[in-house]
Amino acid sequence: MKVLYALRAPGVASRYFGLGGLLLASGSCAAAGPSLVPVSQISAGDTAWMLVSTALVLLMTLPGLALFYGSMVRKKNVLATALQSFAVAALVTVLWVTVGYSLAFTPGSPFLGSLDRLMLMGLTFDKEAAMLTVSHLAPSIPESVFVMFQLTFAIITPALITGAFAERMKFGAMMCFVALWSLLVYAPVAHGVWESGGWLAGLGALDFAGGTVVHINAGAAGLMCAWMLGPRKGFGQEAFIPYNLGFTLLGASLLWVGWFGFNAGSAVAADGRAGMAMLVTQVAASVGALTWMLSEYVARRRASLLGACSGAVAGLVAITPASGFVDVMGAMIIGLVAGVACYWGATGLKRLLRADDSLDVFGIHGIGGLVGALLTGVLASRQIGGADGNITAQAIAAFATLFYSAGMSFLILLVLRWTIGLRVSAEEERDGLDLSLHGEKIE
Amino acid sequence: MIALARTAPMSRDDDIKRQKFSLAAHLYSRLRRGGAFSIDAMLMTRDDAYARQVIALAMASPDPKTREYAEQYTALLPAPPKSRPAPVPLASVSSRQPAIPMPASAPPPAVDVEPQAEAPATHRYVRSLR
Repeated sequence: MKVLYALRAPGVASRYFGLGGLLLASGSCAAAGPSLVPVSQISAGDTAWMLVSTALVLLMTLPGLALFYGSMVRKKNVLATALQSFAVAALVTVLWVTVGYSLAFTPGSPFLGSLDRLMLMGLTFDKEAAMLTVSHLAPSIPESVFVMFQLTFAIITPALITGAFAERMKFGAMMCFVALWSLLVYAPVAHGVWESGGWLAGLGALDFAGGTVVHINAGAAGLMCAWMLGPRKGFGQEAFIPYNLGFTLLGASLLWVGWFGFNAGSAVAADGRAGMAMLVTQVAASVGALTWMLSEYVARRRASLLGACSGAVAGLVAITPASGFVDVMGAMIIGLVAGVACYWGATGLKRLLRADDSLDVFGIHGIGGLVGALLTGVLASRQIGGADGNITAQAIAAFATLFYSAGMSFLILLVLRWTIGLRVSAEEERDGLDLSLHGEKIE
Repeated sequence: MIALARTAPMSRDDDIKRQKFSLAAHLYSRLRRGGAFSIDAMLMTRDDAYARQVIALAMASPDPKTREYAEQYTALLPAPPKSRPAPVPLASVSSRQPAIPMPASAPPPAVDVEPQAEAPATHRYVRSLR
């Protein structure tokens, strides 16, 4: 009965299901869209939390991911790698407000939204009339806040991919790839999973904060990028010594803290569900870190700082789709499985795939995303999220996203290879991208 | 001619070399006696990298006089090169095992030799970051 009530009351729907849970409401809300409402409908508490969450998620990319990735490459490529995250943030922002948001979060077909919010036309805040627009997916916060919150997800997803082709891709090719990928891959996948009329939403797949939309999507694209660009010069023959693992710890810590905005913010409300999402996020990250270190110790008789950071990120990735649906025990199981699976993904599987995925984007985000998506189907609790999991629906959504992302990335990269080229020259790669592409250097 | 050579004024380099050898000899006897280490005094005057290793050894000694000699020797050395030369293995500093075992109460000779930073990298970060 609660479910039916939620479906009929758009203002309440997100409180029951969170953003990812709205897929359950697909039938009733398919025709709904952003609408003009009185300011009194807005919840000050929800809005305050969503503003904070938005800043936290942006912090994950700037400077979290920039530090995390920049510190793991060789000294001659640190600036170029950090710059990629920074430039992606700027580029995707412009694309998002121009067309991306409209394609992802307005009703349209099951596969893509409409152009109703092109250049954010129709997004309104009228102080004198005390009216503003809200998204049908987040009716208790201003649409402007929802646009910003979703923008930070749209930023971090392609920024994650840059780790796979680090140290060898042309800057211009990277920017073109990210622009095309954001519009042709991210927007349709976000629409399919999160928009109430999306085709994966209609199947009943659960993705609370982006295990499928962000992590599987980025992991698959990263793997394809690694294959298409080929290995770095000297890969497998010489040691690629990371620049500064101390900064890796800083970056990973920023990611961990920012993830509270990512997951608890996806409740789109300052409520008990957001609190549960934050709690299980912390638990899964911790169990992931411990499990990865234990795996390392068993395999190599040592635990490393990079391993601890990687394990925490693996746990965070895996809990992302489940964070609004599982309890603490579920989070422990997810963190445990993710720690072991992602360790294998970044070591054993990496060797099997024979791709130079420089910073293990697929090993951690792809595998962690798959683990999280599938386990959500097993561990989702009706008591927490108002819905039971369905492993079949989860698997369909996860693998459909994986293959779509990989296939579209392949096509985009193929076009770019034929036109502007993907890789820097051998001399530029040898000299380092910092100096050869950007004329800058760390001393 | 021979008489002239003998009476010719000593160059600055020769003076430094002489001072180095004098201090190296002092260090030889002090380290031999106190720490049961045997060093090559002649090699010290020729090889600055080796000399720095011996100085590090001497600076760790509890004997103030040994440390004083080491400081004096340091003052005679040129500024260390920017890129650090490969550290000389301790084995070449102590070329001979002590005939008498050190007393149990004596502190072990602490040598402040940095571990070779590149050594683990030969096994790590090839093909896999993690």
